[in-house]
Amino acid sequence: MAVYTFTLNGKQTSVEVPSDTTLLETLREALGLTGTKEGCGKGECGACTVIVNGKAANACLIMTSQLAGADIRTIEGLGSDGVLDSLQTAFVETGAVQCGYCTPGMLMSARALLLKKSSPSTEEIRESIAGNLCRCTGYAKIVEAIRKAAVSARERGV
Amino acid sequence: MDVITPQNLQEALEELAKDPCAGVLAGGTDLLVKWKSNTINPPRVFTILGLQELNFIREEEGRLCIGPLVTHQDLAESAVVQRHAPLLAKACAQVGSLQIRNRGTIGGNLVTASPAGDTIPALVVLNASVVLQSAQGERQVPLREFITGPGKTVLQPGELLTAVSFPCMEATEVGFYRKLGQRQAMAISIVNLALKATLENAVIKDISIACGSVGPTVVELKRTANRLKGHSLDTSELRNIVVNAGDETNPISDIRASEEYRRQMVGELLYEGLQSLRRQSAG
Repeated sequence: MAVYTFTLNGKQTSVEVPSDTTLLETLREALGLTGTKEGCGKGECGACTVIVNGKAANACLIMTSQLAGADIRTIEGLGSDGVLDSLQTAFVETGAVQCGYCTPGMLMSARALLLKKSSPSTEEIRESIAGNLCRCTGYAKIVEAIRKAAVSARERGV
Repeated sequence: MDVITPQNLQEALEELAKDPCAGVLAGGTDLLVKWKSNTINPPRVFTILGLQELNFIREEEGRLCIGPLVTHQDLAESAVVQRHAPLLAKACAQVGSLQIRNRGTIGGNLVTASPAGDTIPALVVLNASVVLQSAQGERQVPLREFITGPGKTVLQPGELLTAVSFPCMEATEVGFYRKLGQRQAMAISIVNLALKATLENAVIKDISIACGSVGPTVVELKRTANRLKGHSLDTSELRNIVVNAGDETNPISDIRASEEYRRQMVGELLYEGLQSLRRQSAG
């Protein structure tokens, strides 16, 4: 066991786990943040996508011991005080959620894209979620929701 | 599995010398997948991901030198790589998904030595070599000699790949890279192909062709390259030359594609590549 310290959703966080604990296990089991889902567990489905130092990454393929000092954002860090993030609002309004299992990962991939690019093209939106599988086959609505969120953020000037 | 974090390269090399059978963990997109499926289970791994001295892209005396920890996404987006080796930027952009490209490193792609590795054919036509460093010293090995079989390299216990470098492309050189997979993202290559050619008024003066996923290691189409030399990219003769290009490869049939399909696609991708070179030379 060792103690690892990083920034999680804006707060400095320390956690004591074995050195071969994945970020996904740390989030879900040590910290009780179960919004991040496990799908395939080998980097193919994107259900566990989180944002590490501003970039989308699969939490199942990162060791917690590799994250000393890192800035990590999970689905729990989207929105605040019960107010939804603009992407979450757009997903709800567009009907971009079916069973919901892929949704946290989709939202984090989309957030990572919008952090980098406020006016992405449809092609860039599609590419940003190419590593996120939706087994309900709802991609059209998801792409539409991300586009709407980008437009509404621009209109609000944020 | 005990994950140990050396603080600098020197410490990593010393630790590795003491425990040469330990694993080396970088982006984790290959090693952790194998570990989770129990394909490997090293008692100790050294995570080198935080070693900033192994994360660089430098232009030095006409060569591009790349640290092993540079991620595929950083290479794909690098203005220096796009200028001096656009085919490598293209190859990196086609690896896995964005999540994988953000973590997976070029050093990892080479050491993993997959027959389908996406960056390998690109680096082979660029005449890349790798630097292998240990506590005792370092040696430089041409990439062509570095990979010896599926998952096999000449890396000795205690050695770490610390750089990959190649000559910057000349103004007279043009390149091409194409990956064929079952879908555009997240697919393991069925065939990938890289080309680098020197042109003079659309005539091929020199050409290197390398393909992945069609043999145990990258396959260079030397006979086809020799036949192409001296031909104009405008000639209809190109079709006749590329049609047998697949004969130089040694593919297998697997879950992704048949041997016959792969052989045929080698010729098709090569033809597509030659057409791309023609457009590049015209424009």
